[in-house]
Amino acid sequence: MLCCTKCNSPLPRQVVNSNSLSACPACVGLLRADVFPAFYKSLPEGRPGEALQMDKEAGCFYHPGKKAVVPCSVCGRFVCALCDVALNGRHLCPACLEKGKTKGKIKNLENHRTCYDTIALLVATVPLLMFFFPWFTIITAPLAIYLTVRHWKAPTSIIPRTKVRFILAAAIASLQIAGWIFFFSNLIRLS
Amino acid sequence: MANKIKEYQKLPGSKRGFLIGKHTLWQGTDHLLQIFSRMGIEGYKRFYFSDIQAIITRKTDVAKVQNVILGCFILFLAWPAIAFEGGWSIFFAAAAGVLLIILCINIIRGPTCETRLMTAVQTEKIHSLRRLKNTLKVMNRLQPYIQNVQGILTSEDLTKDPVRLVADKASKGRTKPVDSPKTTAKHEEGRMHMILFVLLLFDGVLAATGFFFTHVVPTLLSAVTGICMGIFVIIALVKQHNSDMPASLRTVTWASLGYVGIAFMAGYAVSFVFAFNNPSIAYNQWELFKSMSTLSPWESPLKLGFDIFTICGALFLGIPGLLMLKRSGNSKKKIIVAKSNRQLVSGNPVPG
Repeated sequence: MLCCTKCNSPLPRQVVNSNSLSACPACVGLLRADVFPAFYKSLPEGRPGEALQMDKEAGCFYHPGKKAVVPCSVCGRFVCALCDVALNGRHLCPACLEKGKTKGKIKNLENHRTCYDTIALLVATVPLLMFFFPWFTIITAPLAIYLTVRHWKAPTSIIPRTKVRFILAAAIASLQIAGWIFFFSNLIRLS
Repeated sequence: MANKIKEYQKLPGSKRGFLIGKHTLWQGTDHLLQIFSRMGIEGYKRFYFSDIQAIITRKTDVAKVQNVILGCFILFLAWPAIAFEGGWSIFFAAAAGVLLIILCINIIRGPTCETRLMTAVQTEKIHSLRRLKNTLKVMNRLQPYIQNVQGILTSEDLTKDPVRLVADKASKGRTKPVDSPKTTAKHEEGRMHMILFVLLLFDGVLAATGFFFTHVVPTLLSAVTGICMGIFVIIALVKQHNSDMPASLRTVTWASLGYVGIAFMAGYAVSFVFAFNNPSIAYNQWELFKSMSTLSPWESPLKLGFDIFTICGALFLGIPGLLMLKRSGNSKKKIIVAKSNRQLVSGNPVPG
Protein backbone atom coordinates (compact mmCIF):
# COMPACT_ATOMS: atom_id res chain seq x y z
CA MET A 1 0.00 0.00 0.00
CA LEU A 2 1.33 3.43 -0.92
CA CYS A 3 1.61 5.66 2.13
CA CYS A 4 2.16 9.37 2.70
CA THR A 5 5.84 10.01 3.44
CA LYS A 6 4.91 12.43 6.21
CA CYS A 7 2.01 10.93 8.18
CA ASN A 8 2.35 7.32 6.96
CA SER A 9 -1.38 7.03 6.23
CA PRO A 10 -2.51 5.13 3.09
CA LEU A 11 -2.90 7.24 -0.05
CA PRO A 12 -6.15 7.04 -2.06
CA ARG A 13 -6.07 6.03 -5.76
CA GLN A 14 -6.95 9.57 -6.89
CA VAL A 15 -3.55 10.78 -5.66
CA VAL A 16 -1.61 8.10 -7.56
CA ASN A 17 -0.33 9.04 -11.06
CA SER A 18 -2.26 12.30 -11.16
CA ASN A 19 0.88 14.04 -12.55
CA SER A 20 0.25 16.99 -10.26
CA LEU A 21 0.46 17.82 -6.57
CA SER A 22 -2.49 16.40 -4.61
CA ALA A 23 -3.31 16.72 -0.94
CA CYS A 24 -2.90 13.77 1.42
CA PRO A 25 -6.32 13.20 3.02
CA ALA A 26 -4.81 12.73 6.48
CA CYS A 27 -2.13 15.44 6.85
CA VAL A 28 -3.21 17.70 3.91
CA GLY A 29 0.42 17.78 2.76
CA LEU A 30 0.84 18.31 -0.98
CA LEU A 31 2.46 15.39 -2.77
CA ARG A 32 2.88 13.71 -6.14
CA ALA A 33 3.12 9.94 -6.39
CA ASP A 34 4.27 8.34 -9.65
CA VAL A 35 3.63 4.60 -9.43
CA PHE A 36 4.93 2.10 -11.98
CA PRO A 37 3.87 -1.47 -12.90
CA ALA A 38 6.71 -2.97 -10.78
CA PHE A 39 4.68 -1.94 -7.72
CA TYR A 40 2.03 -4.51 -8.64
CA LYS A 41 4.31 -7.24 -10.00
CA SER A 42 5.61 -10.03 -7.82
CA LEU A 43 9.35 -10.58 -7.61
CA PRO A 44 10.76 -13.38 -9.78
CA GLU A 45 11.45 -16.41 -7.61
CA GLY A 46 14.93 -17.95 -7.52
CA ARG A 47 15.24 -21.24 -9.43
CA PRO A 48 16.73 -24.28 -7.74
CA GLY A 49 19.27 -26.29 -9.72
CA GLU A 50 17.80 -29.36 -11.41
CA ALA A 51 19.37 -32.72 -10.58
CA LEU A 52 21.25 -34.56 -13.38
CA GLN A 53 19.05 -37.12 -15.13
CA MET A 54 21.62 -38.67 -17.52
CA ASP A 55 25.38 -39.13 -17.32
CA LYS A 56 25.88 -37.37 -20.68
CA GLU A 57 24.41 -34.10 -19.38
CA ALA A 58 26.82 -31.40 -18.30
CA GLY A 59 26.97 -30.76 -14.56
CA CYS A 60 27.46 -27.52 -12.64
CA PHE A 61 31.11 -26.72 -11.77
CA TYR A 62 30.15 -25.85 -8.21
CA HIS A 63 27.37 -28.43 -7.72
CA PRO A 64 28.40 -31.55 -9.71
CA GLY A 65 25.05 -33.21 -9.03
CA LYS A 66 23.07 -30.38 -10.63
CA LYS A 67 22.34 -29.82 -14.30
CA ALA A 68 24.31 -27.00 -16.00
CA VAL A 69 22.11 -24.46 -17.76
CA VAL A 70 24.55 -21.83 -18.99
CA PRO A 71 28.32 -21.18 -19.24
CA CYS A 72 29.80 -18.25 -17.30
CA SER A 73 30.40 -15.30 -19.65
CA VAL A 74 33.82 -14.60 -18.06
CA CYS A 75 35.47 -17.95 -17.21
CA GLY A 76 33.32 -20.29 -19.31
CA ARG A 77 32.57 -22.68 -16.45
CA PHE A 78 29.22 -24.44 -16.63
CA VAL A 79 26.84 -23.31 -13.90
CA CYS A 80 23.43 -24.53 -12.70
CA ALA A 81 20.33 -22.33 -12.36
CA LEU A 82 21.16 -21.67 -8.71
CA CYS A 83 24.69 -20.41 -9.43
CA ASP A 84 23.76 -18.39 -12.52
CA VAL A 85 23.72 -14.63 -11.88
CA ALA A 86 22.32 -12.56 -14.74
CA LEU A 87 23.87 -9.08 -14.84
CA ASN A 88 23.71 -6.57 -17.69
CA GLY A 89 22.69 -9.30 -20.16
CA ARG A 90 25.61 -11.54 -19.13
CA HIS A 91 25.62 -14.74 -17.10
CA LEU A 92 28.22 -14.89 -14.35
CA CYS A 93 29.30 -17.58 -11.90
CA PRO A 94 29.58 -16.62 -8.18
CA ALA A 95 33.42 -16.62 -8.27
CA CYS A 96 33.60 -14.24 -11.26
CA LEU A 97 30.96 -12.03 -9.67
CA GLU A 98 32.99 -11.80 -6.47
CA LYS A 99 36.23 -11.19 -8.38
CA GLY A 100 34.53 -8.54 -10.51
CA LYS A 101 33.26 -6.80 -7.40
CA THR A 102 36.51 -6.84 -5.41
CA LYS A 103 38.75 -5.92 -8.35
CA GLY A 104 36.28 -3.34 -9.69
CA LYS A 105 36.07 -5.04 -13.08
CA ILE A 106 32.26 -4.95 -13.14
CA LYS A 107 31.40 -1.28 -13.14
CA ASN A 108 27.78 -1.77 -12.09
CA LEU A 109 28.81 -3.51 -8.86
CA GLU A 110 31.04 -0.70 -7.68
CA ASN A 111 29.52 1.10 -4.72
CA HIS A 112 32.39 3.45 -3.95
CA ARG A 113 35.49 4.83 -5.58
CA THR A 114 38.44 6.93 -4.40
CA CYS A 115 39.01 9.91 -6.67
CA TYR A 116 42.70 10.71 -6.27
CA ASP A 117 42.45 13.76 -8.53
CA THR A 118 40.05 15.43 -6.07
CA ILE A 119 42.22 14.39 -3.10
CA ALA A 120 45.35 15.80 -4.79
CA LEU A 121 43.57 19.10 -5.46
CA LEU A 122 42.29 19.27 -1.87
CA VAL A 123 45.76 18.54 -0.50
CA ALA A 124 47.20 21.30 -2.69
CA THR A 125 44.56 23.96 -1.96
CA VAL A 126 43.15 23.47 1.56
CA PRO A 127 46.38 24.49 3.42
CA LEU A 128 46.34 27.74 1.41
CA LEU A 129 42.89 28.54 2.76
CA MET A 130 44.04 28.06 6.35
CA PHE A 131 45.34 31.54 7.02
CA PHE A 132 47.39 30.60 10.10
CA PHE A 133 48.83 27.35 8.77
CA PRO A 134 50.58 28.04 5.43
CA TRP A 135 53.55 26.11 6.85
CA PHE A 136 51.62 22.91 6.12
CA THR A 137 52.35 23.44 2.43
CA ILE A 138 55.95 22.35 3.03
CA ILE A 139 54.52 18.83 3.48
CA THR A 140 51.33 19.02 1.44
CA ALA A 141 52.88 20.39 -1.77
CA PRO A 142 55.22 17.37 -2.32
CA LEU A 143 52.34 15.11 -1.24
CA ALA A 144 50.06 16.61 -3.90
CA ILE A 145 52.78 16.09 -6.54
CA TYR A 146 53.25 12.47 -5.37
CA LEU A 147 49.48 11.80 -5.55
CA THR A 148 49.32 13.28 -9.05
CA VAL A 149 52.23 11.20 -10.37
CA ARG A 150 51.32 7.99 -8.52
CA HIS A 151 47.63 7.97 -9.46
CA TRP A 152 47.74 9.69 -12.87
CA LYS A 153 46.45 6.58 -14.59
CA ALA A 154 44.13 5.43 -11.80
CA PRO A 155 40.40 5.58 -12.59
CA THR A 156 38.79 8.73 -11.23
CA SER A 157 35.05 9.25 -10.85
CA ILE A 158 32.52 6.87 -12.40
CA ILE A 159 31.33 9.91 -14.36
CA PRO A 160 34.02 10.37 -17.01
CA ARG A 161 35.99 13.56 -16.53
CA THR A 162 39.22 15.19 -17.63
CA LYS A 163 42.56 15.29 -15.80
CA VAL A 164 42.11 18.99 -15.04
CA ARG A 165 42.09 18.40 -11.25
CA PHE A 166 45.41 16.56 -11.41
CA ILE A 167 46.90 19.31 -13.61
CA LEU A 168 45.66 22.07 -11.28
CA ALA A 169 46.92 20.20 -8.20
CA ALA A 170 50.34 19.73 -9.78
CA ALA A 171 50.51 23.38 -10.88
CA ILE A 172 49.52 24.77 -7.46
CA ALA A 173 51.86 22.38 -5.63
CA SER A 174 54.74 23.28 -7.99
CA LEU A 175 54.19 26.98 -7.28
CA GLN A 176 54.24 26.27 -3.54
CA ILE A 177 57.48 24.29 -3.86
CA ALA A 178 59.00 27.09 -5.95
CA GLY A 179 57.97 29.55 -3.24
CA TRP A 180 59.65 27.45 -0.56
CA ILE A 181 62.84 27.11 -2.62
CA PHE A 182 62.90 30.90 -3.07
CA PHE A 183 62.26 31.40 0.68
CA PHE A 184 65.02 29.02 1.79
CA SER A 185 67.53 30.27 -0.78
CA ASN A 186 66.98 33.83 0.47
CA LEU A 187 67.30 32.64 4.06
CA ILE A 188 70.64 30.94 3.32
CA ARG A 189 71.89 33.98 1.43
CA LEU A 190 70.99 36.30 4.31
CA SER A 191 72.61 34.07 6.92
CA MET B 1 35.10 10.98 -35.77
CA ALA B 2 31.86 9.77 -34.23
CA ASN B 3 30.52 11.71 -31.26
CA LYS B 4 31.11 9.96 -27.95
CA ILE B 5 27.79 9.17 -26.26
CA LYS B 6 27.73 10.17 -22.61
CA GLU B 7 27.15 7.21 -20.30
CA TYR B 8 25.51 9.33 -17.64
CA GLN B 9 23.54 12.53 -17.90
CA LYS B 10 23.31 14.90 -14.95
CA LEU B 11 19.81 15.41 -13.62
CA PRO B 12 18.84 18.79 -12.15
CA GLY B 13 19.37 19.38 -8.43
CA SER B 14 22.13 18.75 -5.93
CA LYS B 15 22.56 18.91 -2.21
CA ARG B 16 25.64 20.01 -0.36
CA GLY B 17 26.32 18.81 3.15
CA PHE B 18 26.81 21.19 6.08
CA LEU B 19 30.59 21.36 5.60
CA ILE B 20 31.57 18.58 3.24
CA GLY B 21 29.84 16.21 0.84
CA LYS B 22 27.57 16.60 -2.17
CA HIS B 23 24.66 14.52 -3.42
CA THR B 24 23.95 14.40 -7.16
CA LEU B 25 21.68 12.30 -9.38
CA TRP B 26 22.66 10.95 -12.80
CA GLN B 27 20.67 9.16 -15.46
CA GLY B 28 22.23 6.10 -17.07
CA THR B 29 20.98 3.96 -19.92
CA ASP B 30 19.01 1.59 -17.70
CA HIS B 31 19.38 3.03 -14.21
CA LEU B 32 19.59 6.08 -12.00
CA LEU B 33 22.85 6.70 -10.19
CA GLN B 34 22.93 8.61 -6.92
CA ILE B 35 26.42 9.85 -6.06
CA PHE B 36 27.52 11.09 -2.68
CA SER B 37 30.99 12.57 -2.96
CA ARG B 38 32.91 13.48 0.16
CA MET B 39 36.58 14.53 0.32
CA GLY B 40 37.46 12.62 -2.85
CA ILE B 41 35.58 9.45 -1.99
CA GLU B 42 32.43 8.75 -3.97
CA GLY B 43 29.62 6.45 -2.87
CA TYR B 44 27.22 5.09 -5.47
CA LYS B 45 23.62 3.84 -5.32
CA ARG B 46 21.94 2.48 -8.42
CA PHE B 47 18.20 2.26 -9.04
CA TYR B 48 17.38 0.24 -12.15
CA PHE B 49 14.38 1.44 -14.16
CA SER B 50 12.97 -2.08 -14.07
CA ASP B 51 13.01 -2.09 -10.24
CA ILE B 52 11.56 1.34 -9.51
CA GLN B 53 8.09 0.89 -8.05
CA ALA B 54 7.23 4.48 -7.22
CA ILE B 55 8.65 7.98 -6.85
CA ILE B 56 6.91 10.10 -4.24
CA THR B 57 7.61 13.76 -3.68
CA ARG B 58 6.10 15.87 -0.92
CA LYS B 59 6.17 19.64 -0.68
CA THR B 60 7.84 20.86 2.51
CA ASP B 61 7.96 24.21 4.31
CA VAL B 62 11.76 24.31 4.68
CA ALA B 63 12.17 27.14 2.14
CA LYS B 64 9.48 29.22 3.87
CA VAL B 65 11.15 28.75 7.27
CA GLN B 66 14.55 29.63 5.76
CA ASN B 67 13.07 32.78 4.22
CA VAL B 68 11.50 33.86 7.52
CA ILE B 69 14.76 33.27 9.42
CA LEU B 70 16.80 35.10 6.79
CA GLY B 71 14.27 37.96 6.77
CA CYS B 72 14.55 38.32 10.56
CA PHE B 73 18.36 38.29 10.40
CA ILE B 74 18.26 40.99 7.70
CA LEU B 75 15.98 43.17 9.83
CA PHE B 76 18.17 42.66 12.91
CA LEU B 77 21.28 43.63 10.94
CA ALA B 78 19.66 46.50 9.03
CA TRP B 79 18.64 48.12 12.30
CA PRO B 80 22.21 48.80 13.64
CA ALA B 81 23.29 49.63 10.07
CA ILE B 82 20.87 52.57 10.17
CA ALA B 83 21.48 53.41 13.87
CA PHE B 84 25.31 53.57 13.66
CA GLU B 85 27.62 55.65 11.56
CA GLY B 86 30.97 55.00 9.96
CA GLY B 87 32.72 51.62 9.69
CA TRP B 88 30.31 49.59 11.79
CA SER B 89 27.35 50.82 9.77
CA ILE B 90 29.08 49.61 6.59
CA PHE B 91 29.88 46.28 8.25
CA PHE B 92 26.25 45.64 9.31
CA ALA B 93 24.91 46.88 5.95
CA ALA B 94 27.28 44.55 4.09
CA ALA B 95 26.23 41.58 6.26
CA ALA B 96 22.55 42.43 5.67
CA GLY B 97 23.25 42.78 1.93
CA VAL B 98 24.86 39.32 1.74
CA LEU B 99 21.88 37.79 3.54
CA LEU B 100 19.51 39.66 1.22
CA ILE B 101 21.23 38.12 -1.81
CA ILE B 102 20.92 34.65 -0.20
CA LEU B 103 17.23 35.35 0.49
CA CYS B 104 16.64 36.38 -3.14
CA ILE B 105 18.37 33.22 -4.41
CA ASN B 106 16.28 31.11 -2.03
CA ILE B 107 13.07 32.74 -3.26
CA ILE B 108 14.05 32.22 -6.92
CA ARG B 109 14.87 28.55 -6.31
CA GLY B 110 11.28 28.01 -5.19
CA PRO B 111 9.59 25.72 -2.65
CA THR B 112 11.37 22.71 -1.19
CA CYS B 113 10.30 19.09 -1.21
CA GLU B 114 11.30 15.65 0.00
CA THR B 115 11.58 12.88 -2.59
CA ARG B 116 11.59 9.14 -1.96
CA LEU B 117 12.16 6.36 -4.44
CA MET B 118 10.63 2.96 -3.77
CA THR B 119 11.84 -0.42 -4.97
CA ALA B 120 10.76 -3.87 -3.79
CA VAL B 121 13.45 -3.94 -1.11
CA GLN B 122 14.01 -0.32 -0.10
CA THR B 123 12.63 3.17 0.13
CA GLU B 124 15.47 5.58 -0.48
CA LYS B 125 15.50 9.32 0.05
CA ILE B 126 16.82 11.16 -3.02
CA HIS B 127 18.80 13.93 -1.38
CA SER B 128 19.52 15.93 -4.53
CA LEU B 129 15.82 16.34 -5.35
CA ARG B 130 14.86 18.87 -2.71
CA ARG B 131 13.51 21.71 -4.83
CA LEU B 132 10.02 21.12 -6.17
CA LYS B 133 10.75 22.79 -9.51
CA ASN B 134 13.68 20.43 -10.20
CA THR B 135 11.93 17.36 -8.82
CA LEU B 136 8.87 17.75 -11.05
CA LYS B 137 11.18 18.27 -14.01
CA VAL B 138 13.10 15.08 -13.17
CA MET B 139 9.90 13.07 -12.55
CA ASN B 140 8.47 14.14 -15.91
CA ARG B 141 11.77 13.27 -17.58
CA LEU B 142 12.11 9.83 -15.97
CA GLN B 143 8.49 8.72 -16.45
CA PRO B 144 8.83 7.73 -20.15
CA TYR B 145 12.13 5.89 -19.52
CA ILE B 146 10.65 3.80 -16.71
CA GLN B 147 7.45 3.20 -18.67
CA ASN B 148 9.54 2.14 -21.64
CA VAL B 149 11.06 -0.64 -19.51
CA GLN B 150 8.08 -1.59 -17.35
CA GLY B 151 5.12 -0.64 -19.51
CA ILE B 152 2.24 1.68 -18.69
CA LEU B 153 0.14 1.18 -15.60
CA THR B 154 -3.47 0.43 -16.49
CA SER B 155 -6.54 1.29 -14.42
CA GLU B 156 -6.98 -2.47 -13.80
CA ASP B 157 -3.53 -2.66 -12.24
CA LEU B 158 -4.47 0.06 -9.79
CA THR B 159 -7.21 -2.15 -8.33
CA LYS B 160 -4.74 -5.01 -7.70
CA ASP B 161 -3.04 -5.76 -4.39
CA PRO B 162 0.44 -4.24 -4.48
CA VAL B 163 3.48 -6.48 -4.15
CA ARG B 164 4.47 -4.99 -0.80
CA LEU B 165 1.15 -6.02 0.75
CA VAL B 166 1.41 -9.49 -0.76
CA ALA B 167 4.95 -9.79 0.51
CA ASP B 168 3.85 -8.58 3.96
CA LYS B 169 1.08 -11.18 4.08
CA ALA B 170 3.44 -13.91 2.91
CA SER B 171 6.10 -12.99 5.46
CA LYS B 172 3.59 -13.23 8.30
CA GLY B 173 2.95 -16.86 7.45
CA ARG B 174 6.63 -17.76 7.22
CA THR B 175 9.60 -16.70 9.24
CA LYS B 176 9.82 -13.61 11.37
CA PRO B 177 11.35 -10.78 9.34
CA VAL B 178 14.83 -9.71 10.36
CA ASP B 179 14.79 -6.57 12.45
CA SER B 180 16.19 -3.61 10.56
CA PRO B 181 18.47 -1.15 12.38
CA LYS B 182 15.57 1.33 12.48
CA THR B 183 13.30 -1.05 14.39
CA THR B 184 16.04 -1.83 16.90
CA ALA B 185 16.71 1.88 17.52
CA LYS B 186 16.16 2.84 21.14
CA HIS B 187 13.26 5.04 22.11
CA GLU B 188 14.25 8.53 23.24
CA GLU B 189 11.84 10.80 25.09
CA GLY B 190 14.00 13.90 24.48
CA ARG B 191 14.19 15.30 28.01
CA MET B 192 17.79 16.41 27.54
CA HIS B 193 16.80 18.05 24.26
CA MET B 194 13.99 19.89 26.04
CA ILE B 195 16.40 21.20 28.70
CA LEU B 196 18.82 22.29 25.95
CA PHE B 197 16.14 24.18 24.00
CA VAL B 198 14.80 25.83 27.17
CA LEU B 199 18.37 26.90 28.01
CA LEU B 200 18.75 28.32 24.51
CA LEU B 201 15.56 30.35 24.93
CA PHE B 202 16.71 31.54 28.35
CA ASP B 203 20.06 32.59 26.87
CA GLY B 204 18.27 34.53 24.12
CA VAL B 205 16.08 36.29 26.70
CA LEU B 206 19.12 37.15 28.85
CA ALA B 207 20.88 38.63 25.81
CA ALA B 208 17.75 40.67 25.04
CA THR B 209 17.65 42.11 28.59
CA GLY B 210 21.06 43.69 27.91
CA PHE B 211 19.34 46.20 25.63
CA PHE B 212 17.24 47.56 28.52
CA PHE B 213 19.46 47.36 31.59
CA THR B 214 23.03 46.32 32.34
CA HIS B 215 24.01 44.48 35.50
CA VAL B 216 26.50 41.83 36.52
CA VAL B 217 23.74 39.27 37.39
CA PRO B 218 22.37 38.73 33.84
CA THR B 219 25.95 38.45 32.52
CA LEU B 220 26.80 35.91 35.22
CA LEU B 221 23.59 33.98 34.47
CA SER B 222 24.40 34.10 30.77
CA ALA B 223 27.86 32.65 31.41
CA VAL B 224 26.41 29.82 33.55
CA THR B 225 23.72 29.17 30.89
CA GLY B 226 26.43 28.98 28.25
CA ILE B 227 28.33 26.33 30.22
CA CYS B 228 25.10 24.37 30.86
CA MET B 229 24.22 24.56 27.15
CA GLY B 230 27.64 23.13 26.30
CA ILE B 231 27.09 20.22 28.70
CA PHE B 232 23.48 19.51 27.68
CA VAL B 233 24.14 19.70 23.95
CA ILE B 234 26.74 16.93 24.32
CA ILE B 235 24.38 14.82 26.48
CA ALA B 236 21.57 15.37 23.93
CA LEU B 237 23.84 14.30 21.06
CA VAL B 238 24.85 11.15 22.93
CA LYS B 239 21.20 10.39 23.76
CA GLN B 240 19.98 10.84 20.18
CA HIS B 241 22.62 8.49 18.78
CA ASN B 242 20.94 5.27 17.54
CA SER B 243 17.55 6.50 18.73
CA ASP B 244 14.18 6.89 17.00
CA MET B 245 14.40 10.68 17.12
CA PRO B 246 13.29 12.49 13.92
CA ALA B 247 16.03 13.68 11.56
CA SER B 248 14.89 17.31 11.81
CA LEU B 249 15.32 17.29 15.58
CA ARG B 250 18.76 15.71 15.26
CA THR B 251 19.74 18.44 12.79
CA VAL B 252 18.58 21.17 15.21
CA THR B 253 20.66 19.55 17.99
CA TRP B 254 23.75 19.46 15.77
CA ALA B 255 23.06 23.07 14.76
CA SER B 256 22.84 23.91 18.50
CA LEU B 257 26.31 22.43 18.96
CA GLY B 258 27.54 24.64 16.13
CA TYR B 259 25.82 27.66 17.65
CA VAL B 260 27.26 26.99 21.15
CA GLY B 261 30.74 26.60 19.65
CA ILE B 262 30.52 29.79 17.58
CA ALA B 263 28.97 31.74 20.50
CA PHE B 264 31.80 30.59 22.76
CA MET B 265 34.45 31.66 20.24
CA ALA B 266 32.68 34.97 19.54
CA GLY B 267 32.31 35.68 23.28
CA TYR B 268 35.99 34.98 23.75
CA ALA B 269 36.85 37.33 20.87
CA VAL B 270 34.63 40.10 22.31
CA SER B 271 36.23 39.82 25.75
CA PHE B 272 39.69 39.74 24.14
CA VAL B 273 38.96 42.96 22.23
CA PHE B 274 37.53 44.53 25.41
CA ALA B 275 40.65 43.61 27.38
CA PHE B 276 42.84 44.98 24.59
CA ASN B 277 40.95 48.29 24.74
CA ASN B 278 41.18 48.43 28.57
CA PRO B 279 44.74 47.35 29.41
CA SER B 280 44.48 48.66 33.00
CA ILE B 281 42.02 45.92 33.99
CA ALA B 282 43.16 43.26 31.55
CA TYR B 283 44.85 41.16 34.25
CA ASN B 284 41.97 41.36 36.77
CA GLN B 285 39.36 38.88 35.54
CA TRP B 286 36.60 39.97 37.94
CA GLU B 287 37.06 43.68 37.12
CA LEU B 288 37.05 42.84 33.44
CA PHE B 289 33.86 40.81 33.86
CA LYS B 290 32.16 43.63 35.81
CA SER B 291 33.19 46.23 33.23
CA MET B 292 31.89 44.09 30.41
CA SER B 293 28.61 43.60 32.29
CA THR B 294 28.05 47.34 32.58
CA LEU B 295 28.77 47.85 28.89
CA SER B 296 25.54 48.45 26.97
CA PRO B 297 25.15 47.05 23.43
CA TRP B 298 24.31 50.59 22.31
CA GLU B 299 27.81 51.72 23.35
CA SER B 300 29.75 48.99 21.57
CA PRO B 301 28.86 47.84 18.03
CA LEU B 302 30.88 44.66 18.61
CA LYS B 303 28.78 43.73 21.66
CA LEU B 304 25.65 44.72 19.71
CA GLY B 305 26.59 42.35 16.90
CA PHE B 306 27.32 39.56 19.40
CA ASP B 307 24.00 40.14 21.22
CA ILE B 308 22.06 40.12 17.93
CA PHE B 309 23.76 36.86 16.98
CA THR B 310 22.93 35.37 20.41
CA ILE B 311 19.27 36.43 20.28
CA CYS B 312 18.76 35.21 16.69
CA GLY B 313 20.66 31.95 17.16
CA ALA B 314 19.11 31.08 20.52
CA LEU B 315 15.54 31.88 19.51
CA PHE B 316 15.75 30.33 16.02
CA LEU B 317 17.09 27.10 17.48
CA GLY B 318 15.21 27.03 20.78
CA ILE B 319 11.67 27.68 19.49
CA PRO B 320 11.76 25.27 16.48
CA GLY B 321 13.51 22.70 18.69
CA LEU B 322 10.73 22.77 21.28
CA LEU B 323 8.03 22.71 18.56
CA MET B 324 9.69 19.74 16.81
CA LEU B 325 10.01 17.92 20.12
CA LYS B 326 6.29 18.39 20.75
CA ARG B 327 5.41 17.36 17.20
CA SER B 328 7.59 14.25 17.30
CA GLY B 329 5.63 13.05 20.34
CA ASN B 330 2.34 13.58 18.43
CA SER B 331 3.59 11.94 15.20
CA LYS B 332 4.68 8.80 17.08
CA LYS B 333 1.10 8.47 18.33
CA LYS B 334 -0.19 9.02 14.75
CA ILE B 335 2.05 6.26 13.36
CA ILE B 336 0.75 3.80 15.94
CA VAL B 337 -2.85 4.70 14.96
CA ALA B 338 -2.03 4.39 11.20
CA LYS B 339 -0.41 0.99 11.76
CA SER B 340 -3.42 -0.29 13.69
CA ASN B 341 -5.72 1.04 10.91
CA ARG B 342 -3.73 -0.84 8.28
CA GLN B 343 -3.86 -4.01 10.32
CA LEU B 344 -7.64 -3.61 10.53
CA VAL B 345 -7.85 -3.13 6.72
CA SER B 346 -5.76 -6.25 6.10
CA GLY B 347 -8.08 -8.22 8.37
CA ASN B 348 -5.67 -8.93 11.20
CA PRO B 349 -6.69 -8.08 14.72
CA VAL B 350 -4.74 -5.37 16.48
CA PRO B 351 -2.64 -6.90 19.22
CA GLY B 352 -3.40 -5.63 22.69
